[in-house]
Order: sequence, then C-alpha cells, then structure tokens
Amino acid sequence: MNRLLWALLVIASIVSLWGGFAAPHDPAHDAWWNRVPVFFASFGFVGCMVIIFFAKILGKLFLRKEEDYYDAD
Amino acid sequence: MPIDATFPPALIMIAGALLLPLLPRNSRSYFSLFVPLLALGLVRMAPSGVNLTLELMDYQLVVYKVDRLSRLFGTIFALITIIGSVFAFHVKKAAEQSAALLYAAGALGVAFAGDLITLFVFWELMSLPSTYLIWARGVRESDKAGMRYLMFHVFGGGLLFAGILLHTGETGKILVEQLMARDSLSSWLILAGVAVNAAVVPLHAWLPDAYPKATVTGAVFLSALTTKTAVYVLLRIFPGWEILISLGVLMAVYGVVFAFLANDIREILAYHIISQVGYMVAGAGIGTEMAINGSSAHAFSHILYKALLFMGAGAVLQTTGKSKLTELGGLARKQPAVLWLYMIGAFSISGFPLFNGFISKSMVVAAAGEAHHGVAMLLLVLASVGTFLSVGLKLPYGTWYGENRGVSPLPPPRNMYLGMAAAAFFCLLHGVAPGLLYDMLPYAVHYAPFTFSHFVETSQILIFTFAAFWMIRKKIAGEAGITLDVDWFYRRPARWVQRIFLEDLEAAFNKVETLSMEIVGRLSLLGNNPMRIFTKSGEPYFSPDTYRPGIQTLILLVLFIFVLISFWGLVNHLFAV
Repeated sequence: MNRLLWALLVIASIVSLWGGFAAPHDPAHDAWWNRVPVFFASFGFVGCMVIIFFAKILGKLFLRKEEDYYDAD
Repeated sequence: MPIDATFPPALIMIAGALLLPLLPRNSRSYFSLFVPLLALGLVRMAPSGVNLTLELMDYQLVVYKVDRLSRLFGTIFALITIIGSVFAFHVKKAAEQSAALLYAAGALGVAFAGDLITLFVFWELMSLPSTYLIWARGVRESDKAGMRYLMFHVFGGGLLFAGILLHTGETGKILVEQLMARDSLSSWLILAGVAVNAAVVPLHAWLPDAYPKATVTGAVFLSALTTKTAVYVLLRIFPGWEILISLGVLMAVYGVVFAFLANDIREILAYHIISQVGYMVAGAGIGTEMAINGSSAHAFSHILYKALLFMGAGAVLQTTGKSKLTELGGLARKQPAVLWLYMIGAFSISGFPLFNGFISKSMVVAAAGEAHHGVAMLLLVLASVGTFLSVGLKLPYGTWYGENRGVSPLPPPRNMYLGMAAAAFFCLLHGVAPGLLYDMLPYAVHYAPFTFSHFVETSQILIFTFAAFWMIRKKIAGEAGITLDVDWFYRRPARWVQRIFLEDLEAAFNKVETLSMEIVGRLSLLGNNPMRIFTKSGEPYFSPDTYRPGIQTLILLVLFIFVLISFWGLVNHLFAV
C-alpha cells in the first residue's frame, strides 16, 4: 500500500479513537462496554487475534487433514 | 386464468423453465432474463391478500398470498434471479438455465405460500434443480457432493413433511401461521426440517460441502435462495422461539471460525453464509418487531452482497481455473475490475459505513441489545470482526495480492462484469439510501443507522481488526488441505457403512445363495431315486426292476391271506346252517 493510504488510515484511526471519547453516551444502550471509550477498538484487535488463534489451534488439533482424506482407502 | 396482477410469479417461472429448452439456442439467455423480470413485475404489482386458492380434497390451499414480508422476500428472489441470469448470460446450456429458473420458482412459491402443503411442494421443487446446479460442474467430486447435498435435503424435506402431517392431524389446520406450541412434536419436526435448509449448526454441513463444488454461475443462485427461503419460513412460523437466538449466535461464530480455516475461496464464502444466516436466525429468535425487520433487511442485503462475492470468486475460478488460496496470488494488476467489484461485496458484508451491511446487520445487533441479550450482541459483533478478517482481508489479500504465483487469467465474459456491477449497485444504493430498503420492511422502522456512535463503533472495530491482520498477515496464508466438519460423521463412516451394508451383506447373501443352490442340487439328485434314503448303496436313478421281486412276494402274500380269509368265511357260512 502506498503512503497516502497509510496516512489516511492513521488519520481515520485517530478520529475513530477520539470519537470514542467524544461520542455522547446513549442511555438507551446502557451496557458497560458503551462506557469504555476504546472498547470497540480493543474488541476488534483482540477479537481478531482470538479468532485466528482459536481457529489455528482447532485446525492443528484435529480439523485440518490432507486433501484426499475422504478418498484414501 | 388470465395473466394479470394477481397471477402467481412462481407459476410464470415454472412455465418459463419448461418453455426455455424449446427455444432457439441464442434466444435462451434473453428469455432467462425476461422471465424473472416478468416475475419481479408481478411481485411488485401484486395486491396484498389472498390472490389464488385451490381445492384439494377437503382442504383449501392458499397458493398465492401476499403481505409485506412475503413481498420483500419475493422481490429479492426475483431480483437476484435477474442479476444471476445476467452473470450467467454466456452459459448456453438449456438444462442449467432451466434449473436456475425452476429453483427460483420454488423459492418464490415458498415466499408466497399461504398453506403448508403448497409450501412443502415448492420447498421440494427447489431441491432437485439446485442439486443439478452442483452436478452440472461435471467433475467427480461435484457428482459426489451433489448426491450428499440431495440426500441431506431429502432428509430435511422428510422431517418437514412429517411435521406438517402431524400438525395437520393434531390441529386440522394447514395455514402457514405462527406456531406457538413449544411442547408439540410437530412444531419441532417442522423446525428441524426448516433448520436443515437454513444450515443451522449442526445441520449445516451440506452447505460448505456442496457450494464450492457447484458451477461458477450455479453457486450464485445457490448462495441466494435455499438458506434465505428457510430464513423467511423461520420469520413467518417461528418468531420468538428463544432457542433460535443461541443457534443463530452459534452459527455466526462457527461460520467465522471455520471460514478462517478454509483454503478454497468459495468455501470461505460458503462458511460466511452460515455466519450471516446466523444473524437472521438470531433475529427470528429475538422475535421483536425490530428484530424481524433487521433479519428481513439483512436477508435482502445479504443476498445481494453474497451473490456479488460468489460472482467475484466465480470470476476468478472462471478465468484462472483455480479457486484455492494456495494456488492463487498476485492477480490485482491483471483483473482490477473483478477485485474492486468483489471488494464492494466484501465491504458490504463487513458492514462498512455506506455499504448495505452497515444498515441491516447493525439492526439485528441493535435488536439483540434492545431485548437485553448482551452476550449474544457481543458475540455477533465478534462474528463481524471475523467476517471482515476472512472475507474482507484474508481472501482478497491471498487472491489478488500476496505471493505472485504467475497465474495469468483469461478475460471473463463481459456479462459477468455486468452482473457484478448490478449487484454492487444495489449494495451501494441501500448503503447510501437505507430508506429505500426500510420502506419495504414488514414493520415500521424506528432505527437510525447513521449515528455518530455507530460510525465510531464500526470504524474502531474495522480499523483495529485490520491492524491485527496486518501484523500477522504472513503467518495466516492459506494452507493446502481440507477441514473436517460435521460431515465427517457421515462421510468417514461411509466406508464402514459400505462394508457392513454392501460388502458384508453381499458376501452373506452370496454364501446363502451358494448354500441353497447346493441343497437344491442335492435334493434334485435325491429326487432321482428317493429310495437312497433307505438303502445306503442304491443306484443313482430309480429303476422299478430293482424292487420288483420283493414287491411281487409282498403282493402274493397279501393276495394269499385274502384268499385264505375268504375261504375261511365261505366254509363257516356253509357249515353253520
């Protein structure tokens, strides 16, 4: 990716993080995570890692097999 | 029956499917566009209410009933059939074109069925044409996967039919209406039958097994119709069934995890059908007006962007002959249009602002929050993280960027671009102007997607998912191989089943057959001379002369005794007087 896109991405992430602090708290959705300003940023980052490693571990343990697994006899 | 605004669109599609093979080869593609266009017109014009009934024995079948929910689903089924036919315009095989129309006819028929018998008939109408779209690929694995797909759907159809029969027997009703009885076997049978088609985990394995093996164009129709007719039936019959919330959330997360493991790009997309349908199933389970609206809207959006994604992946397969991440890479410069059209679908499914996923998926998530299902809500957000990861990042990175494996694609037929552009247009249209979609929903919409906090939340999630992906992108490239799923339970034991029920059984039959033939042979030999039972050393064939002297003596003796007795009687008679 070129520099312009990276710069835009950095700006977007700063704005979205700032927005987390600036967003008015919506009383209709009164969940604890709405009170944490960077909750969704960390949720995205950690969630992504969790899915990757959970899937990888499952795959390593017993889900991934050779291409001809069902045909081999 | 005149063709007017109350004519059932499903019948138009069936007629079109039957007529199409009779037309000249070059006009068939135009005809396959015209028929769903006509059906779409009929759907949009149809007045609400019961438009066609039929008498069947003692029952009155409601063949064509229209309300807001069915009109919404009818509209998208007809629309996607048009878009799919544009994408498949270059296909000149009458059987495939007919199958697609017949399949869509089934979906339309289900959407407008007012009674369970009609619903079941159209439900079953979908299964064979859709199987044909898998078989038409014409390779060995698609033959086998198509057969597994068909068996699974026959099984699901059986469950549904048993449920309908039981329900009609219990209540005497055949109308399609909300089922309330949680303690009735018939409701659970119907639910299970519908769950098979909705690919509810653990009844889902047919989907990622068969869809990646279908034809390039067939997969577009498959991705749109089967699961969404099932979602429609869930919304119609089972709104508020709490179990659907857990099942839906399970589907959303399960699909994401398995999609990450897949290597075939269309298998990744297939697992994301399960994941996205999970949102709709959960919405049906929540059952509030907002949730039903959300599920319906998401089904509408999903059909468009998922068809677009399947078209993009299909275009890659069509032009390169490859569909595995481990065989693809570095195509960005060679087919930029396919990449960008695909990315519109990917941004939509990931819920980017101004794409249609943003305005429909969030409605289901918000409905979960509003109904105080906090855990479900967070898990659905987690699933959307995984969706962006696989469909929005890993798949395009591995296919169009990443390692250049020297794949040189041929130019795709132009109509493929046109089909993709049409789907992309609607993804963007509803993303920018959600009112167009919201106005069609079954209930009045009290939901505003474009709020500051929604933008903030979505952009935080997407940007930081991207950051996590970028950090470890090199370590998560596709790996060769297959992923086991629930299908292991019927594919792996297949060899044992074959051994027990075919090979061993055949051997047993053979043994019994030889044995009985041997017995028959010996009996027939014995039949030549039954006297051998009594005499150890007899002739093989019976000869009367062997036994003549003995029998002569016996008869002589009997006669002599008779004569003696007669003589004795005569003497007595003479001298007694």
